[in-house]
Amino acid sequence: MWQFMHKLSSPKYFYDLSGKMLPWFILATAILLIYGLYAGLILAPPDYQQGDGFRIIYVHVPCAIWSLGIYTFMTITAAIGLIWRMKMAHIMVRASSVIGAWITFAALATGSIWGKPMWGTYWVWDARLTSELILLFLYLGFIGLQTAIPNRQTAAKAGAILLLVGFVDIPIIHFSVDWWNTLHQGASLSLLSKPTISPSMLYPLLAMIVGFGLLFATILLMRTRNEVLLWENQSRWVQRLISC
Amino acid sequence: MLGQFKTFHAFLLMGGFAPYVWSAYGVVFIVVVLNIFLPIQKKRRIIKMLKQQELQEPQPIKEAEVIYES
Repeated sequence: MWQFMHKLSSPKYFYDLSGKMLPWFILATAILLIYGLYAGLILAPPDYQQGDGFRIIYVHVPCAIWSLGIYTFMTITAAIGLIWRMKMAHIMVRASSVIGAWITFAALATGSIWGKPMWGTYWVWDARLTSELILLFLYLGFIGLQTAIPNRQTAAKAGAILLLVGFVDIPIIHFSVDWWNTLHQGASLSLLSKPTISPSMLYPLLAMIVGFGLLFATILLMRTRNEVLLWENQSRWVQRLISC
Repeated sequence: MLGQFKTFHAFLLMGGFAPYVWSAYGVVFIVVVLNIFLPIQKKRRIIKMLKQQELQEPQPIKEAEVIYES
């Protein structure tokens, strides 16, 4: 494991390995998303309370889960980068931030659209919605910080501190539906208990969640490879890659 | 083939929730396509820039810093 981590921290090794992995990631993503969309939009029965309107769940929940997931990934990776001074870690954190911001925006937008027919309003300032909006600002703050600090080392350090401090928002978002009265419904899925929704609705949801996870992994790989090329533009292997 | 829906038209109508369901899916579709397209376009730009640099001067280059920020 450690040896693998060490190898992975070499930009050239990462570039070669990720190039081989990309097609498989794309294939797996496509299969899961096509199945998830078909089963979610067409095969799953309408909800007994929300009718066909509930089908928004198949895009909203994956976006919401990964808006938290990507932030958690960034925080852990940034901490690793700080402690072991790994260049690759910094590159990956930077590459994740833009996808994270977009997906948080998508979670907020789809939730807002869903709220209108079900709650009668696009937006309320309750705990779940407000803490998710703060998450979007954390992402934007991180991106802003990276653009504002020209020195990459300093930018990485400042970014890691922002991520660590902001991480307090993640459990708040997750538990907000239990801690406060909110319009937002409680969790339908939990790692620790049996799901409360029927399999015909559950499987497409799981497929969409895993599919979106793989999609972000794919985009993260593409972005990271770009940053590696830029950072390593003086090294011989990049020069060779360019000239052929 | 159409699962829960009797006709394709019924599928499009989404039980009266069509504007909400399709706009939510639309937003996510645009976000996903944009996020796939952006890194592909950036890679093309990077390769082009590195090729130009190689032709001009084999010396250490400073312009590379500029594109980091985009």
